[in-house]
Amino acid sequence: MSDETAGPVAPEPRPAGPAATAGIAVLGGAPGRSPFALLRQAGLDPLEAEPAPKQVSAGLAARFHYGASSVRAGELGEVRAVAQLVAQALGGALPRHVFWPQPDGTVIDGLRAAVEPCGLPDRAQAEAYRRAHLAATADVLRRAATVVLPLWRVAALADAADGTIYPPAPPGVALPKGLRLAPAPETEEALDAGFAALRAGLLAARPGAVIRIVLADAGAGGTAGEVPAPLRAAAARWAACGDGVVHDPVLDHLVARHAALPPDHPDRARIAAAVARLVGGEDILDLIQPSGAASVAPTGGTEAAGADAPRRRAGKPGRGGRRGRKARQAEARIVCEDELLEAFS
Amino acid sequence: MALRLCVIGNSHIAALKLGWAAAGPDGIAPVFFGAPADGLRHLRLEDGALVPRKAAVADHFRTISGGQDRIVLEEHDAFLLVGLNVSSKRILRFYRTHAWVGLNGTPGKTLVHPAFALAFMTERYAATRMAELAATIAGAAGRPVIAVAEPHWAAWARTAPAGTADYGWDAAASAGDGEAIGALFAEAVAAALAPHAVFVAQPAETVEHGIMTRAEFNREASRLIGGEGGGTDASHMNGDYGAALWPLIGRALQDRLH
Repeated sequence: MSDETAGPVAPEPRPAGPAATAGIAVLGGAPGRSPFALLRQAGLDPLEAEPAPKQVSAGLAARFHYGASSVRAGELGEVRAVAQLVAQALGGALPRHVFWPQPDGTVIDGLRAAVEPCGLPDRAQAEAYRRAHLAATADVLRRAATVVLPLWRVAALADAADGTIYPPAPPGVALPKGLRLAPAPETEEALDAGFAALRAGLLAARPGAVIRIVLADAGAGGTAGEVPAPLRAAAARWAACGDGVVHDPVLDHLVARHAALPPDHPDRARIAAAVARLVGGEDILDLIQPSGAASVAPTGGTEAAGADAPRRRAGKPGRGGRRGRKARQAEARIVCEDELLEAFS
Repeated sequence: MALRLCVIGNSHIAALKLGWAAAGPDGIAPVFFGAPADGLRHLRLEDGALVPRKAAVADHFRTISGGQDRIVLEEHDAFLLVGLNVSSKRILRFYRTHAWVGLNGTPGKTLVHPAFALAFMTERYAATRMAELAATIAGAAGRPVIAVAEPHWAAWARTAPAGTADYGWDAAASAGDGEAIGALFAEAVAAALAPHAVFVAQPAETVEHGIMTRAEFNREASRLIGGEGGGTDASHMNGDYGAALWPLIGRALQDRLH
């Protein structure tokens, strides 16, 4: 975030242009609460490694963790878990207990046990599925000029034998024999080492990539304002180094506020638009208008300020500007194609 | 007294009509109502009857049923829905971009969990005219509803000349995925219709590569149904196909009624 002071004349509003918004990846978050969904609501098109079919319902997508992140790796939210994913995607070895045999004969991928509500028929298929997941993740990392990193926790469970971080097992899922999970250290050194490994991995995949840290609880069931103090301190250290690592507390606040609002709240679209612009590289001052001036439309256009303006915009979530129109046209075309395909069979 | 079976569908009811004389089960008296393409989208429920909103559809009803321009639900003991946009083309479209673990044709596609593939396709088939009509009839008449999908296209379409509609049969069959796709198709359609109708899958002896129909069941379909006479209709089947289907429909009706 810039620490410039505002001059006498506010800068001209700049829409988040294609150059600024191309190649954005979001690594982590839960359906409906992640910055990924928020950017989409603003009409942007963040990278997505394993997209669901366009026609999928919101409920089914959420059940299988689609549309929550650029990678279907679970909520993440802890820096070492993200670093581990990136390392594995770039060719690192898989941990010994990644596949969890279940009493019913199925096999669950323990590193993303919550992403799939049920297991796979056997280990060979589970391995094939993980390989495809990691290949798709690596592809996203190579294309990501900006990596948005939602973080909200420092607590993690690790395999006592090899240090692999595992997400909490969903209810009813059995851990494999021999896997002993224990709390991972939450020291400053451990967190810093995790971030260093993550940054090295991201830069190896895409030299010059910008890491945009967002400290906001984007996990399912989370609430705003619960980001632990050690994580806040760590993020300040990481961003203080500069060099492509950015942390903007305003972005934290906007994402947390968005996540705390009910799905149909009229302010969600406005917040999403502001987040999209900040993620795209704009300065907070670009979003602030002098008193009496025209307000900034969600994707950079202007419209007359008025008492009803926010509500009117919010009544059409994700429908701002050229980018939004383009997305709607694409969606309409898909629906029409599907209907025509079936209707004229 | 024969069971009064109301057969409602698009052009695919023709095969059942043509096959009735050879294999129609005893004790069933069918009455056919049909309209081509998606004409049955224009039906509304009105005072216990399905009434066409378009005169052209009412004309089709009169011609096919022998004089009735509306379907009075209480005049029928059971209902058979045919075609109505439920076809394997929809799952083949999904297969162009996505595949599930266990299939061979995965390169370049997004891999999904098999449970997601089933749930997604169930959603898609639940959004068809057939599912909507099944719900309407089951809710209003409270009588058994049986459903059959549009047949898979004839096997020769797989190697049809360039320019012929290609829904991806050859890609699926060449990869060895046809059987698995066909199985998921049947499972998803059955699940989508289950709240209101019993699904009868395409007779096994008519299927080739899991997602296509053996050529002999398509022979003469162009002349008999499409009226083209050029042998270019791969989507409709002949009376032999209808004759293969009737015993399965008869058994499903018996199971449902007893």
